[in-house]
Amino acid sequence: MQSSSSAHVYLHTRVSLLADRLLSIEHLQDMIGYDLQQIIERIEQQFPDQPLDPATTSIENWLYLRMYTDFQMLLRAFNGHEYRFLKHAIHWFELFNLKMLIRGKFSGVSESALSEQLIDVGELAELPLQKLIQTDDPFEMFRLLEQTSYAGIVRQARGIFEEQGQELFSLDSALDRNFFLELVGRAHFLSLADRQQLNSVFGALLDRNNLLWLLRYRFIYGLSPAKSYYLLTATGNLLVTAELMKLAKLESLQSVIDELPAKLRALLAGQQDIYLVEQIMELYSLDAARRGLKKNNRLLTRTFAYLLLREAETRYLIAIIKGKQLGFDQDLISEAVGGLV
Amino acid sequence: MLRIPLPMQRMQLRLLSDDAQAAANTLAGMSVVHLQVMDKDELAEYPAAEFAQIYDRIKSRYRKILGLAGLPMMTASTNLEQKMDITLDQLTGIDDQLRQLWGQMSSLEEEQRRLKEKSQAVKQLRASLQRFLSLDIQLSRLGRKSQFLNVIAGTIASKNRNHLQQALSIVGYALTQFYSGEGSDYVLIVGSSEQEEEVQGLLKSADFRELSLPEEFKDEPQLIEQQLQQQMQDVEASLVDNSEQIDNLVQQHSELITMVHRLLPRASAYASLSTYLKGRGRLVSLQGWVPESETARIQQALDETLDYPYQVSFATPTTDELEQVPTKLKQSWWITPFQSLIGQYGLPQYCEFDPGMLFALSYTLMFGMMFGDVGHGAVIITLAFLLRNKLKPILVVGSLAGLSSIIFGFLYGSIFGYEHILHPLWMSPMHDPGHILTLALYWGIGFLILANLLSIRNLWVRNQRQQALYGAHGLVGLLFYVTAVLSLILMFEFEREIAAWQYLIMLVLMATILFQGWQHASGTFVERIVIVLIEGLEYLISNMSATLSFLRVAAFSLNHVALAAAVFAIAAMLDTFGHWVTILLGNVFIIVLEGAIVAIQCLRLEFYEGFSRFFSGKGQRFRPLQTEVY
Repeated sequence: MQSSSSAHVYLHTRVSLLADRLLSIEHLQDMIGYDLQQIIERIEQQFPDQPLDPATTSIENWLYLRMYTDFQMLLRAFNGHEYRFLKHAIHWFELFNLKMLIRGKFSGVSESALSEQLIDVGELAELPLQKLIQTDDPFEMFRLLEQTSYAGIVRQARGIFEEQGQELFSLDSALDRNFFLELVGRAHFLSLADRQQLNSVFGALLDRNNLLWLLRYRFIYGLSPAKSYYLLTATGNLLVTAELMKLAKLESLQSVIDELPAKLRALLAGQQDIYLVEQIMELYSLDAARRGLKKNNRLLTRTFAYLLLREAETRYLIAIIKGKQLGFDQDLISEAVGGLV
Repeated sequence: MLRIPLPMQRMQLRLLSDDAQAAANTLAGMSVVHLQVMDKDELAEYPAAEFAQIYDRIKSRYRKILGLAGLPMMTASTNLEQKMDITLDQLTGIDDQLRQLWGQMSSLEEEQRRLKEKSQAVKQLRASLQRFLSLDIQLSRLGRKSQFLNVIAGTIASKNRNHLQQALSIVGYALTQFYSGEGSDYVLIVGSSEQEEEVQGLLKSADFRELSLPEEFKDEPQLIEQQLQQQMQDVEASLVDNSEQIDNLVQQHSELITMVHRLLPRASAYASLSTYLKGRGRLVSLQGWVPESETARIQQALDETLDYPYQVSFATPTTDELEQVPTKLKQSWWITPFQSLIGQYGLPQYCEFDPGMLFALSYTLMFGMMFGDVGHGAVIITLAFLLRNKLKPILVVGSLAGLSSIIFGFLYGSIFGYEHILHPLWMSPMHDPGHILTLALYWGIGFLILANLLSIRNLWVRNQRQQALYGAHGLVGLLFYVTAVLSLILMFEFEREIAAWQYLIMLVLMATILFQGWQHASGTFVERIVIVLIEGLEYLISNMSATLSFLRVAAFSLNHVALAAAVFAIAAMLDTFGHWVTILLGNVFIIVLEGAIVAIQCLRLEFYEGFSRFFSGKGQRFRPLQTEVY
């Protein structure tokens, strides 16, 4: 709980103010037509107190930094179990770094190239990133990782590396799985009222992840039903244990869609492309977050929903900016920003 | 009494790259330059960047090597007599040698880890021996291939067991747990051999640790115990051997390690310039902030050290640059300990007054006023002396606060709460509470006027002239406050009515403050009106509450006497032994609890009523370029 009701009101107002600044998918789609300078100006209008200084930072890092600054500011007002839950949720972004780091070390990417690819998560960092980058080989990196909160995945990572990195995606999924299990574990300590409201946002996110990974495991990586099921995370709102076990045994995308709960089936009916399913499910979970932000009165749920929406916004903005920098076709950029659905 | 931080000059050094290392080492040796990234980009290259990158790699490997060898970080000599530059080739050569050495050592460390893991596995197997014996199954079947049945024993993280059980059920396998402890579950997995491959893949993903049981397990447990013991001994012997190999490797490369040890301090200063030194071709440039008093010494040192022509210029910071200038405080020995308290609020900006002395004096004075007692002051000094090694600043802060307590103790005539032993040099607070409260109020008014004056000065220096003259914390704000306070004093102390012209003056001053706010407010017409009115109201309320806030200075001095009186009243009801125990515990209670509260209240008055008016606390600490010591 917040330390006082005034802090509570303050934070609600803060979340609302930040939420008002979020860009809609439609707005993001419009921005694809802008040139790079116009995009930056538009973003600066959102947050005039944090202008871009191209001399000291890249656009990408600037966007991440703005995001982390806001997250930190929100996080500071929480304590106890709520704080622990949100803090872990924010560590999702550090997971990107870890995945990048492991892949980089497996494939022998140079220190400087690796440093450029990693996101600066500022004070939120738990990983000794610099030391990890400076390791000379993956084994040294594993030994260092064993001293961190990510020790649980080291044995598996070591096994994958020794087998010539055949199943790197399963390491990603192990990391995701650990992350979500821990987050679900932390959610159990929240108050009943918080858990009930959080479920609408968090459950949708878990449903989305489980369905996406199930489809990838089964139909892209060709994993067995048992292994595919095992690699999924904790269950969400609609896709509960029995449902997922049943879906894991099915042999085609169509049959999976046919067996989905009515709400998801209606959403995905007729889809034949897993990439499109991913996009629809992403928008589905973001819609749930948007509703959570507007219609809920629990601060934790609103903050969590904001984190999800802001992360997606940042991701989309980076996709647009990178697309522009690399001279990609507008349609191609649009695809990356939910433009296919 | 009030000082500004040490005057600084902006230093711009242009020289040839051949001299860059010598310049870096010279400046680092003097610890006088706070480097600043150059804002002009006419020089686009970073000549020290590659050097710094290799230097960082060498440093990292050097530390890892020493760490693995169990050697402490040796303190390197910072004597930079050896004037010769370190070339990039030299550095690269050393980096290669260290990489090779660390490569060998890292393999040995990995081997060490494997051996330790094996040792752990053997220990686990020994521990689980009894657990397997208690199972009602034919143990020799475990781990043995069968045509129809696949039986696997092993451990899995408890939190994953249910999920694995569900996944295994998809392929018709069953999982049974037979022991649980330390976050792991011991399980048996049984199913058809047909799905063995699929199950193995699944178990690998689940980080399942199979326990491989020897054939003889069933029949001769003693034999197994012997074998396991032998395995343990072998592992331990290998660990010793591994450790010796590491030592030998370090010994063989002692020359290299010593060389790196000497080289790192010599290279550190130049490596620190990676983002600061910019150049084009052989011309390089560097800028930073240096204390004004050091400029001549810097010039002389550069003259003596550099071989090629160079150009160095020093300039007083312009108003626009003031926020970039780092702060280096010049404080007396007795003020420095208070800095840890001031530091909780922040560091003064370069152009701001250093509030150190004001803080130290007013804090000490207020503490004494609120906690005036000869005995309690003496105890505080004693405690500060006893705790001096554990908490460094406490000796000075505690001693001064204690001394102030003693002085006010004599003024109030109070010793350990007794009011009749010492004759008060002035008066006991309880004797005339109204008078004490009035004095506290005057003290607060004086304190706030001083804070306002400092605010005007700081705003003026920062070139915020309008704010300094017409703002709420500027001259007009101060005049309004003084007029209002004087009017109220005349009204309440001297029972004189406030004249119309006094009202008029206050009205004009308030209108000026509001107009100033209006000019800075943004939004629609109505929004601006609301903002200005709320800010005006906030200004009035905050000044009133800040002034009244100082009543606590008197309130705590009264509280101190009242607490002592309460202790004596309880003690009077008890027998002799109980009386003295109560007096003793009561005094301990007063010193610890009331003392802590008074200390915090003083800090609160300083921070909220004083600092918030004139002190931004946004200064950046002066961090000079220095030679790294290993």
